[in-house]
Amino acid sequence: MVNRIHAAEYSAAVCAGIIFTCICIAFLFPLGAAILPLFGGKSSVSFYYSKLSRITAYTFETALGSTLIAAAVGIPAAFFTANRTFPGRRFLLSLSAVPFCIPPLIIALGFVGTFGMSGVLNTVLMKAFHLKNQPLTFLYSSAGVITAQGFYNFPLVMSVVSASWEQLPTDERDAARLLGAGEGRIFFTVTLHQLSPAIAAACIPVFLYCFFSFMIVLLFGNIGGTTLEVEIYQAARTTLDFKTASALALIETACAMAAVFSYSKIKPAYAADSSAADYGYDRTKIGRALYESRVMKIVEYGSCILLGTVILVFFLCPLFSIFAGGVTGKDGAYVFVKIINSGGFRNALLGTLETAPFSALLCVVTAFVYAWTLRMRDPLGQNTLLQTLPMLPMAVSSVVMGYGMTLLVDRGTVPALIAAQAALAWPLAFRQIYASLCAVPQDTLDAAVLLSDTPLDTVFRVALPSCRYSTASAFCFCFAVSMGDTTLPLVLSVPRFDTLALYTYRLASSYRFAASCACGTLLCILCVLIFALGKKHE
Amino acid sequence: MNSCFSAENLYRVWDSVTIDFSFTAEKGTMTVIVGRSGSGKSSVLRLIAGLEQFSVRSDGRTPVITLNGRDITHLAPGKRGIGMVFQNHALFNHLSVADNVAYGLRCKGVHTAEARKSAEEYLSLFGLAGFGDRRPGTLSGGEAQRVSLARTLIMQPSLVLFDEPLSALDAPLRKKLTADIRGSQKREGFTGIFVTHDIAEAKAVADRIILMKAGKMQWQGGPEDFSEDMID
Repeated sequence: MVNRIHAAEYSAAVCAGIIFTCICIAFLFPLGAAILPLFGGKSSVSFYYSKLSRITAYTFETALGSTLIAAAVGIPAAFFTANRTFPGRRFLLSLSAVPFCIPPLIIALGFVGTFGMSGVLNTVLMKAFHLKNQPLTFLYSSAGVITAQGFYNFPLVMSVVSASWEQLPTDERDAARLLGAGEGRIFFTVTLHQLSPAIAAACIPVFLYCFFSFMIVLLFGNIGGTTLEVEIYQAARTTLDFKTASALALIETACAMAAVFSYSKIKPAYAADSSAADYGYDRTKIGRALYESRVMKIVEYGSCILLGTVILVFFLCPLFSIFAGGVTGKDGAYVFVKIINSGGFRNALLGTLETAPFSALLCVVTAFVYAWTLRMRDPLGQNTLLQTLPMLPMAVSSVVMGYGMTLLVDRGTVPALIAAQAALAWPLAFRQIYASLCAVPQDTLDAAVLLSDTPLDTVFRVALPSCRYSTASAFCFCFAVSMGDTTLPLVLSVPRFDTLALYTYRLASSYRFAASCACGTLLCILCVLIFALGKKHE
Repeated sequence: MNSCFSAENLYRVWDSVTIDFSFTAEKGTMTVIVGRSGSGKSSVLRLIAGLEQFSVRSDGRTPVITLNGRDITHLAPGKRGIGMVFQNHALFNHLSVADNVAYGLRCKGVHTAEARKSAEEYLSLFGLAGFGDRRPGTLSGGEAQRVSLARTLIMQPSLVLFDEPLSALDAPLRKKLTADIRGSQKREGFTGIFVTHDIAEAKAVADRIILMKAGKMQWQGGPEDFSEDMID
């Protein structure tokens, strides 16, 4: 009996090892393949230096602009969620799930429904002021790209900064207060400094997400305003200029690596800071802070109203208009029934169910293998190389990964899609699983190692049960991310294969707006449900 | 009694303890509040400093805090004329030592150069001449606490609150800092309220000791009359 258990444990461990190796290969080989064409062949890169620098600069500009918007909205929102009580505070904080569980494509559709030429706002404004032309035309330009990306990601900045703000030690601010500093001075001379690691830790991933943004740029990008990600896609899929695609992929990945490296340097400082909370937080109502001057109270109320309006118009309205865009078509709410009964939707749903669970499974297995190895080999978390390695997939975009994969497998296949998605998404699972393994005291692990017959006993009887909830949560998270991924299925273009996200994109690009909104709403509901299921396990 | 400070009806309800506390302190003396962890000692200091809000009493009595005959109950913390030395120093790590000490003067609008000069003078008083350009992170625990003391006293407060300032230090350093605190009190003439759970420390610093239990005053008297069994 004991031998049989050991045999099962060994088999499971061997499988996990094979999966881990495969995912590493699925990450490194396509990355290498994506860059390799640059060094072979006789043809040269068809881009002029000026065009290359223009595209790189534009990518930086849009990513930076979006990050600034996310920070400009997210930091004030974090002030209110961390320091004040108000109706809707929990709802506002729960919006932090949106960038994770709602695909960018859906947000793009929401923006079209709200700010597009035939969007709600243009229609209302034209009717209200009897205008002949649409007053809001910013959407299909850089401003539209920056606005959509910035507001899509602001909840990320808000949640990270808010959590850090709540954890900040109050002594420094109290000392400043007693020394006569006003609240504004305290913010700029003390709080901002204390918060800066958290702000950087929130903004760098947002910058990377925007830097890699594909769908939003593809839908809203204006002529001449193209990003590295879109150009790689065009070169790899349309003009088949692999050398140029590889050059762009190399530039993009190198820039992203620099950002990931900065992120890895900031994270530990931020983590160390956030453990230093001493006093509990007394949240006051808006405008009711102790000894706040009348002017400050008015400023606080004013900022709150302004911020609320901005979030309502640029974030909540687009979210709602995805649903509204579906039901306001000529079929009304019946569009949902039509979509669900359509063969295309059923195929897409089957395709999603064929990829997302397997991709999520590969993610959690890979993440667990690495997290456990790291926990045992580097219990103090001091090995920078081992700690940084799982962040590397953050520096590779879906387009680069998909492009490399197509060069390797010649033609997109479902297993290639699953492997590519897992190779990019497993760090998301790693973060959750590693955090819960770190929460197991070292003494407990040492005792388990001493009492275990084989090292695998420790894994299966202590480590896995200790992180079962985070593993389940990570599975759901990766499931939702894979389900919402439009880029890899689009780049890999598996013949006669659709996913829900890809099907939504196809509907949108064939100008079937109501159908795409309905399909997007269904996809959104599924993603949120699976994400919520994972949250329940946390 | 030549009372310079009085706090009446300090009241705050927490989940674990309800603070209901009144006391007075004579000018230039050091009153030590002793009690077990969680008895509400630090909260009393925070209520006096204005860093914590009072709870409303059902009997209608309201808190009154006076300092040198002036009602400071509803003044902002920075306008009360109170200084505070924190357990973990609460130094601003991104500023130099001199900028830390000069911070309060800068808030009052004193010119940078003048504030810096005063800061260097105060640092010398605490044996920290030449430390001005260093960062708080490079200081030892004792040095950091002396910087914190200098930063508080440069504002010449009438009342200084000490929130277990020596608890993180080893025995020889505690002795040295106790002497520093008493010396600076004689020099500056401030009234002090010192919170600690260490009996020996309390006896070494105190002119008067108040024993606090579960948020209320249990006993008060001279250090010579205080004994360790009273805490149990």
